[in-house]
Amino acid sequence: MKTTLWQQEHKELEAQLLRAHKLSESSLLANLYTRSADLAEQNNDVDAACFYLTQALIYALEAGLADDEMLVKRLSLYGRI
Amino acid sequence: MSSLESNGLSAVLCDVQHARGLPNSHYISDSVFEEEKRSVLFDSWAGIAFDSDVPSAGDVKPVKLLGMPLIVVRDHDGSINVYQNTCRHRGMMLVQEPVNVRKVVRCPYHSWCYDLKGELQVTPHVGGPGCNSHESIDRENLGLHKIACAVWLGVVFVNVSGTAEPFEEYTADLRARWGEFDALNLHGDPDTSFELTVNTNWKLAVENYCESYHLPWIHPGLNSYSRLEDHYNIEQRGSYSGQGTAVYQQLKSSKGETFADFAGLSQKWNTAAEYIALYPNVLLGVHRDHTFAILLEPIATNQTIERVALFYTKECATDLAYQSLREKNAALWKGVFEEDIFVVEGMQSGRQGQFFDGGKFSPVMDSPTHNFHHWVAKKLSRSSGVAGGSG
Repeated sequence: MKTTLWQQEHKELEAQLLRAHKLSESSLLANLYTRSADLAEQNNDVDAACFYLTQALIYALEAGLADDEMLVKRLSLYGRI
Repeated sequence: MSSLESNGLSAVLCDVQHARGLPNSHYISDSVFEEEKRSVLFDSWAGIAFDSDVPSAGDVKPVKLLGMPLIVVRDHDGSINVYQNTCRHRGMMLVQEPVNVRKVVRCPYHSWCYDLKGELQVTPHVGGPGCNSHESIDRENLGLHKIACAVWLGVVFVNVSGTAEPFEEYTADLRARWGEFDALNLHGDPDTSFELTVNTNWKLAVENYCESYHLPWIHPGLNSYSRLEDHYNIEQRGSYSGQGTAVYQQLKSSKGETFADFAGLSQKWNTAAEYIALYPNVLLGVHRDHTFAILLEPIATNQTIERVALFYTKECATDLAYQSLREKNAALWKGVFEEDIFVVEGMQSGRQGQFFDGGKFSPVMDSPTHNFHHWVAKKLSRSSGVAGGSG
């Protein structure tokens, strides 16, 4: 499967995500997944964006961050929640 | 069990002067243990935790009642609720260790998220990657299973079956007796709580606690200031029994200081103290200056964990000035309860003797104990659909 340019750009974020998962850092995971979603949206990859927004939402809820409402709103705009 | 005669319960459901105790099988049989789990413990108001186990909003503590996974949750409004600790998706245990939850409990398997009221909030990717809903997934009807619960005298009680009478009804008589303690704001000191593991069936710990007959032999230290004749029986058919003393003396520090009295108690409590087993598994003690609660956690047919917590006024529970006295009080009670270990374990061992017939009660000294046997037998009889006996 051909890797898109943005997915190549995403590699650094992926490495950071793996490190954050190992540390179970919910706040950091919410932030990194949100940045991943932003990158996917910039490159018009809606499915990837919604996947990352979902991940971000879960970790934002777990961390008690205020971002969850915004993430729900973004997913709603795509009809994905 | 097909009939009261064949299962030995008819001999229990008599007046105390004619009764026998529960047969050996109620202490040594795994199948009877399993039956009592359902008919006695799950079908009643069982104590599972202290409210001080979840002191702050968002605190979630996993507990097990005879293998049943539960979570005790302190909501943001301060109320305590209990839920089954099982995700509604694939049955994963949600919480393994005590945790403080900000907004949701997240299942570690597929991240279904529940709020502190047990309501299902998010089902990530349930409709496919990045799709968080599906027409067949009705989140409103997939919340955590709520377990009926009540909090009293620092103890969290649950009725797993959901079929017991309301807690207020079940405890109405005891709350009337101890009404002055009902309104108190009790404060625990987790640092002086303790646990004892005893190799005995949980019921023997109840039976020993609620009688004073053994005091002169097992707790001789009490003889000097709380003689057997100063004790009286307490019994309420169908819910509790125990003993009281008319000569309670406050513990003193080396400087002669005592704990502060609870506010508003009547003069009776200047010298009285009462010790009551609230069936099935919570042992309570009340005094002018402190209370305690013992949760009996049945681990196996022949093993029980006794969790003990002591409660005081806020100042006495938290102030450094009382720390030494709190430690002394906890050590004193621990010593008393440790003195009971060899007799409850000995009764457990004695019931391996096939010729023991349940025993014979002293109508004067053992009636609180028989009251408990009668309650257990009644619960089992109702469960098996057989009409109970007299007494």
